[in-house]
Amino acid sequence: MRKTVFHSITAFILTGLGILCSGILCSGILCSGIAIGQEKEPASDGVLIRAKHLYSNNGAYGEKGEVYISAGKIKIVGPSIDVPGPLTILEVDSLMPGIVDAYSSLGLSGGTSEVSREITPEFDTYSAIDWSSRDFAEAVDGGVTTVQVVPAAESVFSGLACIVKTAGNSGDRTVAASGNAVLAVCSDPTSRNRARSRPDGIYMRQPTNRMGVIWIIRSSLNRIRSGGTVAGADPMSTELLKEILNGKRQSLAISRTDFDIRSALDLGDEFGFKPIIYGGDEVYRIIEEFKKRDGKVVYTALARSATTSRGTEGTALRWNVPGKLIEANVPFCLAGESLLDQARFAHRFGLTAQEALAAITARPADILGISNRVGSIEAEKDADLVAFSGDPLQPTSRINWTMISGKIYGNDKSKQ
Amino acid sequence: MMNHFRTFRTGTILLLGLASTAAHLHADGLLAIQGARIIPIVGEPMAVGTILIRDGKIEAVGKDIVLPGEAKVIDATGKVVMPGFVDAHNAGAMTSANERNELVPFLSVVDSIDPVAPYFDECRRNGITTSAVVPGNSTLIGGQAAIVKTAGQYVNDMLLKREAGLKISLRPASGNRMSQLVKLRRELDKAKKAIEKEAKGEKPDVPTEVRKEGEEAAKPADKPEGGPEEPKEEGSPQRQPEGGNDAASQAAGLEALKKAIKGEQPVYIYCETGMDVTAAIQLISDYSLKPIFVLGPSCYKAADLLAKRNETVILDPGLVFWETNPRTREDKKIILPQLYLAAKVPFIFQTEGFGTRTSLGSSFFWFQAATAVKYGMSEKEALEAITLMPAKRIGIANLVGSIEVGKDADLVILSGEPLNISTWVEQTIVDGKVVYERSKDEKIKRLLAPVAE
Repeated sequence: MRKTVFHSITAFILTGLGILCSGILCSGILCSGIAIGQEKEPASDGVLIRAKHLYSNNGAYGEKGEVYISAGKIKIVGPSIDVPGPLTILEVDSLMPGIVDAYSSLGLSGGTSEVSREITPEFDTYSAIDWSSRDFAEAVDGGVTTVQVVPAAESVFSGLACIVKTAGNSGDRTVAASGNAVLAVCSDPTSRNRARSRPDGIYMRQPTNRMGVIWIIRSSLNRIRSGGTVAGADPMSTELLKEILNGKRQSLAISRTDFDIRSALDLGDEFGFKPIIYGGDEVYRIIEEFKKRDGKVVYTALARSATTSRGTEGTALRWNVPGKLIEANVPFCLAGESLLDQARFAHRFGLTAQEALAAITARPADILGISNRVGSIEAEKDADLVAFSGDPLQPTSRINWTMISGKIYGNDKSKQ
Repeated sequence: MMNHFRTFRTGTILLLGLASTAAHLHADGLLAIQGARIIPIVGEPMAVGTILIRDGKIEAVGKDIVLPGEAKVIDATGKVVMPGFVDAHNAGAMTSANERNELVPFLSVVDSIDPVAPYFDECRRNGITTSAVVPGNSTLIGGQAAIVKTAGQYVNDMLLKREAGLKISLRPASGNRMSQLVKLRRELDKAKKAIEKEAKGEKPDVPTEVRKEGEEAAKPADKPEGGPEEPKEEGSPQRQPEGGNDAASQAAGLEALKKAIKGEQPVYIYCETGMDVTAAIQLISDYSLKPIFVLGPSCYKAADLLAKRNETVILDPGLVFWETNPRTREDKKIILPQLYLAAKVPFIFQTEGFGTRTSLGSSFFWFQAATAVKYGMSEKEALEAITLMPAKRIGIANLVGSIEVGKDADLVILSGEPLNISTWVEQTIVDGKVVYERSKDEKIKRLLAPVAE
C-alpha cells in the first residue's frame, strides 16, 4: 500500500523536528504537487528535494535541480537524480543554500562586551550563548542557518568569536567554538570611558580616545613579542595574544573608517598577522591599497546605507560598495541584520543576482573558513537549505522553510 | 471648502495659458508619455499606451492617441507608468514632528513645511507625488495636517489642502492614559458645547478661558456636573503653550475642534495599542468624529473592532516583527498585512522616516507593497494601497491616485515592474512637470559608484 502523502510528510516533519514547523503542512505552498511517499519500509531519513529553480553556488543558477539528503548531509545534487530506496520527496519552487552571517551577536546573553577591562581576549562568546534565544528563531525564519557570534568591540581585545548553527540539538550546533580573536581597531572601546571622571570610578579607564586604543594593542603585542606578559591580564590572555602573533589564531579587526581599516592592516604588518576587517564601511575609499595589501572584509554597512548616509562613527556610507569590492577582486561578504534583504538590495545596487546570493552564502563561508561544510549545495556538505516561493532575491518571495542539518524548520506559523 | 483646493491655481494657469503664449506655461503645456506599459489603477493595465498631459492635467490615456505636434514627448518604451504614490501620513516634511505643548489644535503644519527639506527630495526620488503632512504621534492634539504635492519652491505652490485633518494621539506623553483621555475629552467637550450653543442661536463664548503665564489652566466655563477632576500635572511644572495662551490661538483651536466634531475636518487618531483603539472608537462615537486610524504595531489585537468599521487604516511602518508572550514565553512572528487581510480590515502603508534605524526596505512604499504581496495580498491591491487607497482615505481621490482623464498629471515612470527589486524610479512627474530624473540624480550616481571624495 502506498502511504498517503499526508502521512509521509507528517512523519518526515515530526522526525525532522517538530517544534515550530507545523505551518508547512497546511500551507499548500510548499507541498503543492507533493510527493510520493514510497511504501515498503518506514521512510528512512532520505529526502529528495525537487526544485524548479536551484541556486546551488556550484553550477546551478535558477535551473531545475534535485538534491538528495541523508543523515543531515547533502549526498547527491543534479538536474535529475536517481535515488534508490524509500524517501520523502519535497517539491519547492526555489532552493538556495542556508545563509551564513559572519557578524552577529545572536543569542549572546548577559551583555555583549566587557566594560571593566581592556584586555580580555580569553572571554569567550561560546560560553555565553543562550541556545534557546528568540534571536535564533528569528534567524532561522530569515533563512540564516550559520552565524558567527562576535563580542561587541567595547574592550580592545574583546574576546573570542564562535560559529554555530541557528537550530538543532544543542550538541550538534557548534561549528567552531572559541574561534577568531576580536580586536577593536575603532573608537568603540572609548565609548564608556570618560576623560575627566573620578579616579575611583570604573569609567576611569584608558583609553578615552582612539590613540589609546591603538596604543593598547601595540604595547600589548610588543610585550608579548619580547617574551613578556600583558600587565594585569590573565596568563591565558598572554597565551591567546601569542596565538595571534604566531598565526595560530585568526584575528578579526572591527574597523569602519578608512583610517581605522588602514591602522588595522598596519598593526598586522607590524606584528606579522593578517586581521580580517569587520565593518568596513569606508573600505571603498582605500580600495586600491586594500587590494594591494590582500585585505579581506566582512561588510556590514549595507543594512543601514539603504536609508541613511552616515554609519557608526560618522562613516560615509555608499550603496554599491559590494560592487566595488567585486570589481577590485577583494574577498568580502555581506553580514549583519536582515541579511537576505541585504543581498536583495546589493543586487538592486549593482551586484548580479548570482553575486548577491554568493555574498550571503558561499563568500561568508569562505571568509570564515567553513566552506567545507556550508555555503553551497554540494555533495557532502551540511544539508542547510532554504526553500522559497519564488526568486529568493525578490521582495515578494517568501521563505517556505529553512533546513538545518537535514531538519526542516518552518517556523512561520502564520502560514497555517 | 473648495478654495482649499489647488484646482483654482491650475485653473489660473490654464487661463494664463489661453491668454498668452505657451512659453508662459509653468507646466510645460503639453506633454506626452509614449510607449510605456500603463498601470492606471482604475481600469485594466495597458501593455503599451500613451498619456497626454495638458496644463498639468491628464487629458487622454489610450493606445491610439493622436498627439498634437507641439507636445513634448517622453519616450518610455519598455518602462512602466503608474500614478504617483500617495503618502497618507508623514511628518518628514516638518522641521520638527511634535510640539512641546500637548494641546495645540490651533497649529497648522503649513507653517512648518520646508519645501527644500530632504524629505521632498526623497519623495520625488521614490515616486511619491502627494504627501499628507501630519503632526507626530507624541502630541495629544498635535495640530492640523495639510496635503501637499512634493514639488514646489514655496509651500503655497505645493498646497493641495489645508486643514486636512486634526491630529490626535492617544499615546500618553507622560505615561498616564487616564489623564490623557480626560484632557482630550475636556477639549472636545468645550467644542461640543460651543456647537450646541450656536445651534440654539446663543452667542458663542468669547474664549474667556485664556491661560495666563504661571497660572493653572483655567477651568472650562461650563464644566459638566460631576465631570472628571482636573488632572494634576505631576512632577514637571505645567508646560506652557508656546504662543498658544492668547485668545486668538484659543479661538482658532476651538474652531479646529468644532470642525472635527461637525465632520468638516477628519481626525487622524494615533493608537499605540489595542486598548487605544477601544478608547478611540468611544471618542469617535461620543463626538461624532470622522476618523483616520493611524495604528501602532500592537493594534492588530483590536483588528476585529476595526473590521466592523470598514475604514481603511494606516499601518505601522514595521510590517513584520516578533513578540514574546510574557506569560508563556512563546515567540511569535507578527505579520501585520497578513493579520489585517485575514480580519478584512482595509489598510494602507507608512514608510519609516529616514534617520530611523530600520530593516532595509521599510523606508520605501514599493517595498511595503511587496511585503504585503509576499504575505498574501494581490499585486493589484498592493499597488492600489500606495496610490488610490491613500488618496481616497485623505479625501483627494478626485485629484490624484489613478491615471484617469481630468486628474492631476502626477506620474511615476519606472524602469520595470513596480515591485521588482531591480526597478528604479526613472522620472517623477508632478502636475505635468518632470520633477525628478534618475539620469540627472547625482546623489544616486555617487551612491552607486562609490569613490573617495
